[in-house]
Amino acid sequence: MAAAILTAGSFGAKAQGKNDINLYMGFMNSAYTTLDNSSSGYLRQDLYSIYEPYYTISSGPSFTLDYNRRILSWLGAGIQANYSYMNGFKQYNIGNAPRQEFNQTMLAFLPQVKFFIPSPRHFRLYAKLAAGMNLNLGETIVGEPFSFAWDIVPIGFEWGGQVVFGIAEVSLGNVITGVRIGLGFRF
Amino acid sequence: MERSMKKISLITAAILCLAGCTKEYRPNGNSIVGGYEYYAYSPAREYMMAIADNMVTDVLEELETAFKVEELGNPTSLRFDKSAGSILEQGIIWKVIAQERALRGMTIKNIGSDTWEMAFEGPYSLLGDIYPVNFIMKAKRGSLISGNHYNWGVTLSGNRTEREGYSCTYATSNTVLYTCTQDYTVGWNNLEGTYTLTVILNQQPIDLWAMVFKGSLFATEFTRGI
Repeated sequence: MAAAILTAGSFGAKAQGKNDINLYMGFMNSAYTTLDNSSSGYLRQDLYSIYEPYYTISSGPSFTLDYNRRILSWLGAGIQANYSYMNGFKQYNIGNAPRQEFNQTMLAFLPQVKFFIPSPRHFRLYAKLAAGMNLNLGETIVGEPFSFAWDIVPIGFEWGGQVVFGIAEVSLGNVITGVRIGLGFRF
Repeated sequence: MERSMKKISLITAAILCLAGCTKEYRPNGNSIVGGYEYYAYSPAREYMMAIADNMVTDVLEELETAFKVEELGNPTSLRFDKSAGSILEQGIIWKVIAQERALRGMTIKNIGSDTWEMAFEGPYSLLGDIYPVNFIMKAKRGSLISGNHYNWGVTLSGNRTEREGYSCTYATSNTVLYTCTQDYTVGWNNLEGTYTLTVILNQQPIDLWAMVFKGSLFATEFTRGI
C-alpha cells in the first residue's frame, strides 16, 4: 500500500480504469447480532431473557477488502471480504451455569453490486448491496459456524484522484453497522 | 500531484490514528447483549413483583372505578358495560369496554360476601412486553381508606404465554393483603402474603419461584428452585 501511495501520481495521467480495489476499516462491528439471544441493544425482561444466555462482548475495528468491476456507467459488480474479531463471556441471568469465555474471528465473504450515482465534480457517490456468508472461527465460539451475512451501503463517497482515492461510507448489516473509511485504487 | 499526495497522506494518517483508538469497542454501552447484568435472582424477583404490583393494582383500579361509576349513577358508561345492573348486587357482572384500557374485556362479578371476581383473557403488557395472559382474581373488600378506595384481600391464579416456548402459571398461596396508596401504587411495606410462579418451557416445568411479602420491602423473601 505504501508503494501504491508513493507512486500514485504516475498513474494519474492514464484514463480511468474499470476495476477498483479498496481497503477499509470499519467501526461499530455488528457481527455480534448473529449470536443467539442477541437483541440488538433492546433489553427485555421476559422469561426467555431471564433464562437464556446473554453476552458481554468487546471487539475491535473490522477490515474490509473489496474488488469491483464497472459493467455499465451506473453499475458495477464485485466481491468483498471482511475480517473482524470479538471476545467476551457467555453468561446467564439465572442459574448456576459458569461464565463461558469465547474468542472468535469472523470472516465474511459477500458478492456485491455497486451503484454509481451522478455526482458533483470533486467526489463520486455510490451505494452498494452485498449478501453472502459469515464464518465464525476460533477455539471457543458462540453462535453457528456459518451464518448469512448481509451488508447495505446506502451512501458512500470517493474523493481524490482518479487512480488513488479516499473512501468513506455508511454501512448497515450484520458485518458492520456504522462507518467505513479507507483507500481505493482504480486500474 | 503534490496536492494528491497531501490528501492521501492525510487519509492514511487518519486511518492509523483511528485504528489505535478503536482497539476495544464495546457495543451497547455496558457490553451487554440480550439480557441484564443483574445479581442472581433479580430478574425473577422483578418479574414476580411486576405481577404483584402492575397487574393486580390495574385490576383493583378497574374495580374501584366501577364503584365510582356506580356511585355517579349515570345510566350508561363509556368504560363499563353495566347493563346487567348494580355492581353492588350479588350476581351482577360488568365488563370493561373502553378501548384504551389495558384490561379491556375483563369481567367483574359480584359473588357476594363483599367479594368480586375478575376474569381476563387477552394481551397484556408487563415489563414492556405484550403477551397473552389469562387470570381469575378474587378481591375481598377490606377497610375503607377514603372515597371509593379500600384495602383488599386478593387471591389470584393465572398464566402467561411468552416467546420461544416459555410460559408461566402464577397464583397466590394464601390471601394477599393489599394496602393501596391513593394512586394505586402498591405499598410494599403494606403487602402481606405469598405468590408462587411456575416457569414452563415447551410444556415442561423448569423452575418454581415463591415470593413472600411480609409487610416490609426488606422483609420480602424470594426463593426459586423449590
